[in-house]
Amino acid sequence: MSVSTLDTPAPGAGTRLTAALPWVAITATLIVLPLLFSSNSMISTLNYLGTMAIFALSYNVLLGQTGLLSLGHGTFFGLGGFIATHAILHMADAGVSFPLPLIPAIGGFGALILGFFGGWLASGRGGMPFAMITLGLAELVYAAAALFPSIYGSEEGVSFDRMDLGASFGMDYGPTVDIYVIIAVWFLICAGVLYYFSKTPLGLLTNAVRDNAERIEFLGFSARRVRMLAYAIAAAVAGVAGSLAALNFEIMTVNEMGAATCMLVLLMTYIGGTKHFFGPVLGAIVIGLMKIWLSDISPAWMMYFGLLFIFVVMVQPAGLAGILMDGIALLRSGSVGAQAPLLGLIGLAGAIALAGIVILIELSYRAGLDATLGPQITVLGLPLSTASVVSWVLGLVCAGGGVIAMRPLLDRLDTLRHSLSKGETA
Amino acid sequence: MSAEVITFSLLNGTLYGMLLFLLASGLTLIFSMMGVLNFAHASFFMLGAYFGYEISKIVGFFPALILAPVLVGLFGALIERYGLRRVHKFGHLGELLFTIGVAFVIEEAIQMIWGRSPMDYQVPEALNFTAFEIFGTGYPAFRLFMLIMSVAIFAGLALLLTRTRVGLIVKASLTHPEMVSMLGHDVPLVFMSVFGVGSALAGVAGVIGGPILITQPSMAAALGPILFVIVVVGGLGSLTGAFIASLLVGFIQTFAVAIDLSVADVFGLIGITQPPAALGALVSDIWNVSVSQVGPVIPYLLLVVMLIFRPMGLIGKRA
Amino acid sequence: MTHALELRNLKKSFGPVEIIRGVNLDLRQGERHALIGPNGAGKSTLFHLISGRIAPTSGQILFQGQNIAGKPPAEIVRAGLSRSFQITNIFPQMSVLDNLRCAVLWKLGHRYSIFRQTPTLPDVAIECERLLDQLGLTRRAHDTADSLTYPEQRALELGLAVASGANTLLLDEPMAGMNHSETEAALQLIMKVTEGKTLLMVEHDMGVIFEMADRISVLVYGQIIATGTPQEIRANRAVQEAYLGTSEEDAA
Repeated sequence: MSVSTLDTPAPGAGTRLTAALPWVAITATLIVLPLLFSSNSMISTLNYLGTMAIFALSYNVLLGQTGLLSLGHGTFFGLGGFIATHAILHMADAGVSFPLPLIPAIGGFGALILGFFGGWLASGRGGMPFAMITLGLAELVYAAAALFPSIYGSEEGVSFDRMDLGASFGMDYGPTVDIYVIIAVWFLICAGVLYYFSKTPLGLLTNAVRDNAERIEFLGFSARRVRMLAYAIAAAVAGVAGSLAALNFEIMTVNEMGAATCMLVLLMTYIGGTKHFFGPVLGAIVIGLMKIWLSDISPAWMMYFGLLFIFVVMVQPAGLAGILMDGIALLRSGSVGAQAPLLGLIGLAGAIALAGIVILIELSYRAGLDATLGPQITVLGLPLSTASVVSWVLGLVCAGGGVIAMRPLLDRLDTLRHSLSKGETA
Repeated sequence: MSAEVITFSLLNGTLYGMLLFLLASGLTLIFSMMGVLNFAHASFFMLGAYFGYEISKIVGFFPALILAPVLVGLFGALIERYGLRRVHKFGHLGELLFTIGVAFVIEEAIQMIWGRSPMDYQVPEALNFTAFEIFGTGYPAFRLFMLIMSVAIFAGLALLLTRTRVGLIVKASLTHPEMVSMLGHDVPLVFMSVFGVGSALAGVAGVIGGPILITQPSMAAALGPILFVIVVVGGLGSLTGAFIASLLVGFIQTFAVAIDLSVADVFGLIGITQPPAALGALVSDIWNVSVSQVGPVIPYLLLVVMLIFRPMGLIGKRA
Repeated sequence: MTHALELRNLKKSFGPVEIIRGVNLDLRQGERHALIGPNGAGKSTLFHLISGRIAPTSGQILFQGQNIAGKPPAEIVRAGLSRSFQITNIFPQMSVLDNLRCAVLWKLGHRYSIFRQTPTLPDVAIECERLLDQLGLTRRAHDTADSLTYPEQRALELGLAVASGANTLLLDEPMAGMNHSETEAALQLIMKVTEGKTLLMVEHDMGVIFEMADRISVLVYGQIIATGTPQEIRANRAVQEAYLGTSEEDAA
């Protein structure tokens, strides 16, 4: 978030216009998307990506902005969803009609209250203790949920009919695209609110707590109070995301509060990039699409997530957004031509390494987990077989060769990135 | 609750606690070194179980008891050397995230190789008899063996750290790596070895725990959070604290399962058999809650309470 | 009139080891007071006690007549007592401007606000501009703090302490690690920004001390063995024995 506060000069009419441009572009994109991808399943995908994007943005308030690693953020996603679900069920039972688009406000508000409570428990320290408390709280809530089937459902979860609250805003909420509209509007609201927040004094303080929690105390502020407020805000937006997910699928289960959800949002946010505001959105889109597409094609999709995560942790902690911004910086510096050979080599070596890794993993999955499907398998268009030594050797050589070639190239890239950032500020 | 149940719960609780301690001690050592909790520690436990299973199929249980932990230890050392060391420059958060990633990938890899169903990891024939009888029920020799192994390993570790020169160097490197390096010792090697040995300890726990706890891909995810409860409650960095906390958690979980008491039973004692219907479904949920259901929740309650009131843990030096 | 700061029989033990062994010190309003002593005497510990980073084992710390012993740092800063650190303790990933913005927020009353945009607050902008100018960091305002040179970082470190608007400042070895010309420039900066304020400064450089200090206190093994004007301290036998050694030649 330090990037956004850095490059905001004093406001004038001209700069206000340029600041508004990205938001206009995003709104326009949101309007155009369902027209381009109009089939029901595609809109369903967009809905999923939208809720995940909001979820990831909320997580980055903690991770990127305040430097807090929460291992239990899924709890608020789930709790928000359950609050929304029960709100709908109770209103439907009472025969009340209520505008469905306002339901996430209820879920978000409930999550906000719970977030204050959780924040009060968790915010005493940062770093490891914080991670541990959030883990403990999440496990506690998840384990306790099994004791209350009337709230959390048991195996089947809690379901509802989103049309039960009646029509409003010209929609009856039967078609998937109606939900898309709700999600798109809430995305704009949440993204706008969080962006605004990042530039408020409290937003500045969260960055300070991230950088040096001790020093902020010596400037008159309570780091604990800052963490608690950030936690509550993040919880609230996660609750909104959970409510939207509930509206989308018309069902809520304890799994939405479970370890997998907590892990998923961490993956999305970190891979997308914690150092730029829209990084998490990028991560949510990429991981979300991978999840939907890859899970059909290959049993190894979770493995790919894990490896991608490790790759980002080890090589580019600023994530995909960081890579994107580096690319833009390179374009601006005008030295793309000079660097083209290096970039080309990296692209080539990377592609070969990736191909090799994919081959090895697909072969391994077929040889192990899916052995019953037989040894023949088509990987990346190549006919391979788990029984054939050639297939394995091919994978090994590509992966090994690619990785070995990448090491020095990545070091060169690092130096380039370094000199670019120096060049920017000189 | 009969004397029989109490006795068996005590035995099983101690056993479970010692197994947990075997895991927690490795985790504590690694934490003392890295300053970061190794999220992949339970995964090394799982690797130990799977390796133990495979190797004992080929050469028998007792050779597996040696070989499997060695393999896991080597794997751990490699992870430290080529992975963890690289992310050191990104600080504690980077290291933590790396270990999370490793845990994730190991779990996937195990499913990839062995599939998702539990493995038929049997208690070895040589130990498949009744050691003694209490109250007419036999106590399995294998469990006794597990207990003895855990105690022996712990004793060996304690001796190594306190009585040998190697132990001295390790302890010094944990707190003053630069100074130890100035004295001519290869500190990176020490770190790699500590990580390897810690992982091997987890592996041993896996080899002997595998036949009792079910060997399946979710065993790491089931045990992992409990492990963190133990090291945090015991006090990060304290082996004694981990010992106490391990036994505590072991007893809690074992006794909770044994106690077949529900809220309804308690109210039944004073003659109330049904909750008032007017109070709704929630109350009837609570009505049916039994202690054995609450069992899984208790360690986490303990964790949260400890973190609020005594963040340095029972015997911790730093919070 | 009350002293700005008064330490009465202040003691601090870490386990069985007593580091601060009964310190009595008073800091007069508006004076520049230097704290000197050999390494390990407890100077930093004393600062930690006064600024609230650690709590004393016994004794009183009176700031403007109020006992602040054991209070949290945030409360002490708000009362008007601020400190800088010997090891630079800034916000590395944030810009210089943002560093200073954090420091001025409390005194300008903006607290934990979520309703305004920091860059649009005129009082914050004016105050930060003034500080940047004083610290000589105006052209570095938008650079990240960890990209500054060492003397610039020390200037920012000083700036954070001063920006809070405190009237009493504790500076812990502000010249640490600087060469002669850098020290000279830093001293001028300190004199400028602490104009009219009360200052307690830890320093090793005798030239600096004799130039700027109204009074000096000497801390040896957790106790103040002498307090006085530079001339008095120079002539003090106990001080010479314990610490200054060949100071006559150095300070000449």
